[in-house]
Formats: sequence, C-alpha cells, structure tokens
Amino acid sequence: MGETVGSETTESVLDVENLTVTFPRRRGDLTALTDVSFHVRPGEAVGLVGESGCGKSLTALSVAGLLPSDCRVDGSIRLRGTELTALSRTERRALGGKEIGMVFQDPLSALHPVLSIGDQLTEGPRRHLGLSRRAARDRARDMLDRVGIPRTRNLLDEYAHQLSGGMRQRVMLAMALICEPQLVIADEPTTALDVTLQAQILELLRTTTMDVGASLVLITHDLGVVSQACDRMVVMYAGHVVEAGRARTVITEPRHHYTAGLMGAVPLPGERRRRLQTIAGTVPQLDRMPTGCRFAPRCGSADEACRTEPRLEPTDEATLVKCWHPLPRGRAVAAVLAAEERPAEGVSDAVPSEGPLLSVRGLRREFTSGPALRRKVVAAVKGVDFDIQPGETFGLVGESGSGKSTVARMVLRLIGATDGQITFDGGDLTALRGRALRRKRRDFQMVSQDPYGALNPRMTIGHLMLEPFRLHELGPASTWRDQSVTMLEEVGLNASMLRRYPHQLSGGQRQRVAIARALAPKPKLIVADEAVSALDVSVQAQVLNMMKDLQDRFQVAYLFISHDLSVIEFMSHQIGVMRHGELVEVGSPTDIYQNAQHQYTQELLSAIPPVPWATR
Amino acid sequence: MSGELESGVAFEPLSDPVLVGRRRLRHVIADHPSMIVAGLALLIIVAVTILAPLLAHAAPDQIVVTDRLKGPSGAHLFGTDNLGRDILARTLYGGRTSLKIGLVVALLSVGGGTVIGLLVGFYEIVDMIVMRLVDGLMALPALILAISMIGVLGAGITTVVICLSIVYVPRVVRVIRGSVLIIRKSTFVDDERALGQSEPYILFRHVLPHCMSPVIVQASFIFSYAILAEAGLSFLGVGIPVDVPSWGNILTDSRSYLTTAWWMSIFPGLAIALTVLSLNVFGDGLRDLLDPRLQER
Repeated sequence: MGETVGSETTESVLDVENLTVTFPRRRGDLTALTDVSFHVRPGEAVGLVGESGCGKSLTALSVAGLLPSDCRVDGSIRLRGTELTALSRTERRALGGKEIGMVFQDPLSALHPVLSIGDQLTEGPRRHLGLSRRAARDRARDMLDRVGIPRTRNLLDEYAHQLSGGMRQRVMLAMALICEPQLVIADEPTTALDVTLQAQILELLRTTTMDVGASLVLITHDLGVVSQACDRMVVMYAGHVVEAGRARTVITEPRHHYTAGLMGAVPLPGERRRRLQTIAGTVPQLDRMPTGCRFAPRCGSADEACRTEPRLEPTDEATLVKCWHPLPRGRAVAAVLAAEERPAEGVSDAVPSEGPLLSVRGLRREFTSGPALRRKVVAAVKGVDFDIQPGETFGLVGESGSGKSTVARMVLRLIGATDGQITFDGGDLTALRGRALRRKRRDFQMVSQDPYGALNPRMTIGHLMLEPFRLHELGPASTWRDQSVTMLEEVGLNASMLRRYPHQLSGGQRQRVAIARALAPKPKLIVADEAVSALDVSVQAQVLNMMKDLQDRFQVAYLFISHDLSVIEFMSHQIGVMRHGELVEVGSPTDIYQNAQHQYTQELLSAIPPVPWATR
Repeated sequence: MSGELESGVAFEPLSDPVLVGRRRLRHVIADHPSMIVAGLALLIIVAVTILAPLLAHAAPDQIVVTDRLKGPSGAHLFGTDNLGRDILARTLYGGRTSLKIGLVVALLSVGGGTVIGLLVGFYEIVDMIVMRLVDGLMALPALILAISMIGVLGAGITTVVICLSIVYVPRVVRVIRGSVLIIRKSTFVDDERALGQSEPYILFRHVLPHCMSPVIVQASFIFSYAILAEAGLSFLGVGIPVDVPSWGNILTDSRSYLTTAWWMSIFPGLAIALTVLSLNVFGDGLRDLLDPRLQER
C-alpha cells in the first residue's frame, strides 16, 4: 500500500483510490464508503476484513460495477489502468464479465435454479471469448476438472439444487475463473459451508486463482481465513480503511485498536477461563456516523484528539493505520491476550455429585418424506444419550444436517420424539401434555439462532418483556415492569428499549432481549441453538461473556448448540460431537480437544482455521 | 397491558432518533398525503348521506310527472329521472343503502373469514376439511352463487347482505390462510411456544396481528365489491326491492336512457367510483400505518 503508491501503480491489477459511495435519500445522503483506497498487484491475494456494515461487500460491488443505479460513486477504480468509473454500463459489463470473476457467499442463490450448470458455465466463454458451444463445453469440463470435479462426473447437465454445498461453491469458482479473468472477487466464500469443507475450498480458491494468473480479493470477517489465504489485508471499519499492510504483519502486530479488538474477540483454544475481549457497542449505522475517528466511541484509548479524523498514514514498517494513538509495536499481541481472567468458581470442570438436571436416553426422531405411496422414512436423530448437570453447559457440535437442532427441538418439546426418554428435573418430560407441559416450560427456555425472527416484529420490547412475567405470574402485576427492566439491565440494556420495536435494535441487542426473556422465569435450563452464529465477532464475544456471567449468577444450565468448535470449547463443561444423527463422542473439553478418540472429531478439529496470534 | 407501559412512566431519553407515539403518527401521515385525501373524501361521502334529508330538496321517491328527464339545473342539481324524481336526492339516499350494505358485508365476511382462516392455517386437520368447502365455494361465480341463494331465501336487503357475505368469505379465508402458513413457521412462534404460551394466545396475540395488513386491503376491496355486486343484483332484479333507492337501483333505472339522459347514470356512477377509489387508497395507507417496520424511510 504505502510502498505501492507511485511508480508501481501502473503495474497493479486493481487500483482503488478515494472511492466514496453515497446513497441519496430524502432525509439526507448516506455515505457508505469514504475515501477507500487500496491496490492489488498481479498474483496477489488481498483480504478485505471487517464486521457487517463496514463496507467490505459494497467495495467489492463497486469494483464489479454491480451497485444499485441510484447511488453516487466518486473516486477512481482502475483495472489494469482502465478507468472503470468512466465506462458506460454496457462497456463496463462487457469488460467486467470477462476480466472480473465473482464468487458469492451463498452459491445456491447465486446459481440460476432453472439453467443447467453447463448453460451457466458456457455463457461467459461464448459471450466474452466468442467460443462455439462445443468448445465452450470443453472448456467448462476442463475448468470443473481444475476445481476438483473429475470429468467422469458429468455435471454439465445437472442443476444447482442437485449439488451439495461444497460442489456448488466449486461450480461458482469454475464460473468465476472460466474466462481467465485478471481479478477474482470472493465475498465470504466459505462462510456458508461446513467447517471441514471451508479449509478445502479456501485452499482451492487460492491455488486455482493463482493458476489462471488472476489476483484475488477475498472478503471475510474471519481473521483466521485471511491469515491462511492472503498476502496483504485491508481492515475496514464504518466505511473507512483503518489499517492495511502485509497480512502476517497486521495479524501478529495489529496497530489499530479495532483490528486488535477483533482478534481478542475470537475464543482461543485452551483459553476457557479467559474472558473474551470485547469491543463495546456495535458498528454505527450509516445515518448515525460519529464525527472524527469513527471508532472512537468504541475505543478504550480515545481522547480529545480523536474528535478530529485521523489520516491513514504509514507507520514504521509499512503498515498504514488510521489512528491518533496506534498500538505500539511488539506490545500489541500481548495487549490482546492480557485479558481479564475469569474467577475460577462456576467454571470448574468437576462434575457435582447431585443427579443430572436433564437426562436424554435413546432419543430418536424419524421424518417421513416423499409422495404418499413411496413414502420414505429418514431418521434425523438415531438414538442419542447425554446428561446435563445443573448449572453446567453441554455443548453440542456438528455440521449442518447432523441433527443438532432436531435434538434441541425435541428437548424443548416443540416436536415429539419418535422414541426415547427425556428426564428433566426428576420428571419424565415426554409424558407431559397440555397445561402441565406449559407450566413446566417455566424451567426450560429457549434462545434461538435468528435474532431477527425470534421477536415478534409487531410488538414493542416492553410488551415482549412483559409476556413471561404475565404468563407465569412472576410476582404481583405491579412489579412486572420493574422486573423486566431489571432483566434488561441484567443483559446490558436499559429501560429506553421498552418502547422500541425489534427492527429498531441491532442484532446483538435483539439477541440480548431474547436472552433476557428466556431468563425472566428463572429457568434451570436454557437451550441455545446457534444463539451467536448470526452475530458479528465483536458482538458474539459480548454475548458469550454475558451468557457465562449469567450462568454464574443464576446457576442456569445451557444446552449450547453450535457449529463453531472454538465457541463450543469456550462455553462448555461437557461436549458432544454429532454426526449423521448420532453422538459420536462425548467428553470434557480437555478430552475432546487434546485427546479426541473418534476419527470424525479429529477431522473437525484439524479443520479449524489457524489462530496465528495465539502462539505462545 | 400496553396501557401500563405507556402511562405515567418516565422513560429515559432515547439516545438516538427512534420515532415513538404521536411523532411517529405524524411522520406516517406526512408520508401518505393520499391517505389523508381519501380519508377526508370518505368522511364527506358518509356525512352527506347521513345529512341527506337536509341537503336534498325533494324526497327520493317524490314523482313529479312534469319534470321528467330534466338535465342538471338550479332546481335539480343532478337533473331528474324518467319519473321526474330528483337524482341528487336519490343518489344521497341511495348512498345510505349502498354504504350500509358494503360496510356490513365487509365486516361480516372479514370477521368470519379471519376466524376461519386462522383456524385453517394453524391446524392441519381443520385445513383439510374446510379448505375443500372453500374451494367449492370459490369455484362458483360469485354473482351466480348469490342469485341462487337469494332464490332460496327470498329477496330483501338482509338476504342480499347475508348472501354477499357468504360469497366473499372464501376470499378472506384464502388470504388469511396464506399469511398464517408463513407466520406459523417463523422463529418467534416457536419462541412463544417454548416460553409456555398457549396455542390460542399465540394464534390471536401473535399470528393475527401479522395478518391484518392483507385483511385491511381485502376489507376495502370487499366493501367496494359489495357495492358493485349490489348494483349488479339490483340490475338483474333479484337484489333489493325497486322502491328502495340504492346506487345500483338508480343505475338500473338509467339503463334505457344512457344516450338521452346521461346525468341519470353519471352521478350515481361517479358516487360509486369515488367511494371505491377512496376506500382502496385509504386501505393501503392504513396497512402501512399498522406495520411498524414500514415507518422509517
């Protein structure tokens, strides 16, 4: 970056300079990107990192020319010296289709549902390279071979829905590469995939892109992914570039407080007693941008100087930082890791002697599918046994389709079990019906994944918070409101939330409300199904810390379900690994993470992206 | 319950501009000027039909043989019909009948359809039985169905209202059922269930409010359909008795004079058009007003 300004820029594949994107709105313009500059050199992989709402994807869309037509683009985007912003829409499309390949997060929605894979793959070469149908199909087969789909598997006449997730992402990659573009832009290409696939696809993305001689822009929120695949990285925050430099340098010695904060927010292996370092608050919304340094309201080191905007300036070793008080060299990683220790009580691994709170035996669930006469029976959960001790967390981990959520829904009695027994708090849960069940529900509550859908969008938070108190008649009616405010304060919110609607809250705030609601009846067990998966890293850290604190305070047990192994390790006292509807391994975090017995567990563990800053 | 929250509690000042209460209402109204115009138009229409005895110079059924087929003039603003009756008076009094029919039919069919639709959408067993019946009703043309029912029950305003209500119930059921089927699957319904809420509570307090937008739009449509259907039935002679003025009846009378006395059809026709238009625009605005998510733009 700093070193590329000047003579080298003509050699760059992509030059983005002072890119500013504005959405004109009736009540004032919204500036989503401000003065974004970076360069991509030939054969290089550059990572764009940041949380959602920071402008990573918008930057990619600007480069690809896919922005909505009502927004204003200022600054310059040059591809091999050609000014893209000066081209007409048609010229841009012709150039972009050939020279820029795109890989999106969700390949199912990015692939056309009714055109065959062959039709979609050959469209580019026939249009941009003028190949015949036959030649284009040959080329498509060739390309699929290069992304790891052998010629013997003739995919060209199949459709997107017939393929698995990993296969779809390979097809997307082949489509992006088939015209041998100068530049490939991959927007969270592995986020929607299972852990074991992520590493494979990332590696493939990296090697095949280099193979065809293209440069790569990789957009991700995951610093581990960047450290694995990128040469240089650009950290974005609230529409600004806040730090840029060589990926290894930035990751081992972050200079910006935001970059360091992001690193501290990731649970590290073997660090269960540590509190996660969090960044207070959330990414500001476009219409509420702070003046001066945009990170200042969330930054621990902010002072008077931060009221004016710092410039993106080179530091001594060629990293660019936009900060008045950059972290000193060498101390940065230490600062990240010198986080507060959690008090030892409440997180002991010792199993208390009293009986389990929840005991699941031989739990089985079958689903029927298909037309009436050829109905097939599929077992989603095939006999699962586990116990949860009072006040402890049982972590259930597995890939999509392993049956984790089905287990959760059966424990919550949202769906019936085909077979098996659930004993909760000394009673048989499967035997309860109607009013008796509803009354018992007080003791086991749920926090679901989707913070957007979990709260009725038409009710105010005040109303939603009141419901558990009224339903379970928790104390006299006159105290309900005060109690709900207390609960909100317990999860780090306050009374000002009461009159708002869920859509006026951020994702993290919504998830806090959902947790406050679940905690209100003082349950003994909370089933949290992917409760933090939809949240950004820094917010996820806040919620995880909070859930642990609440466990200590209220002695609540969690059935904590996640696909994320590091989150599970951080949260759990006992861990169960699920695969194809079976629990393949159950044990303490130490057992699982240091001495995994089952082959699948080992596979999962080896697929975790590296955390290079955790080397101690 | 919401009263407890809203009244007498001092809330901390909001840290950011989230619109609440009356300010939000003002915002929405500013965003929907057409809704205000339509609302005012409806208000005026209702007012003039209620005040008909004060505004009309003559009784609607007063026959003045010497004034047959007179065009609009100072004495008869809307002209007179083939029997010398004042069109203005007939239109105003006719509005009473037509609006009454429209309103009652809309209320009955929306009310009945909503309850049936909620049950049908939420419980699969009810769905299988009731939807076959609803499909059967939908298969028959509305007007033919109404005519045959009137044939059995006999003509009269009450019969017309009952028949039209039954005819329009399936429309509402379908719309509600569709919304319920989507909302039933949403996370917050499971959340409420896990909290321990009873099914009826979830159905009426959580699912129903989500169905209100399409219901309101349907209600405004059915209101206008009912006015038109009444006109159609009266035109065919199976609707309300000829001696009761309604917009439909007036139009029926004007049929033979379309070329010679345009005022006989234009004025009641305009009344129908204006009412229907205002209703639909107002219904759209109301839908937006009731959805908290559509309010911040």
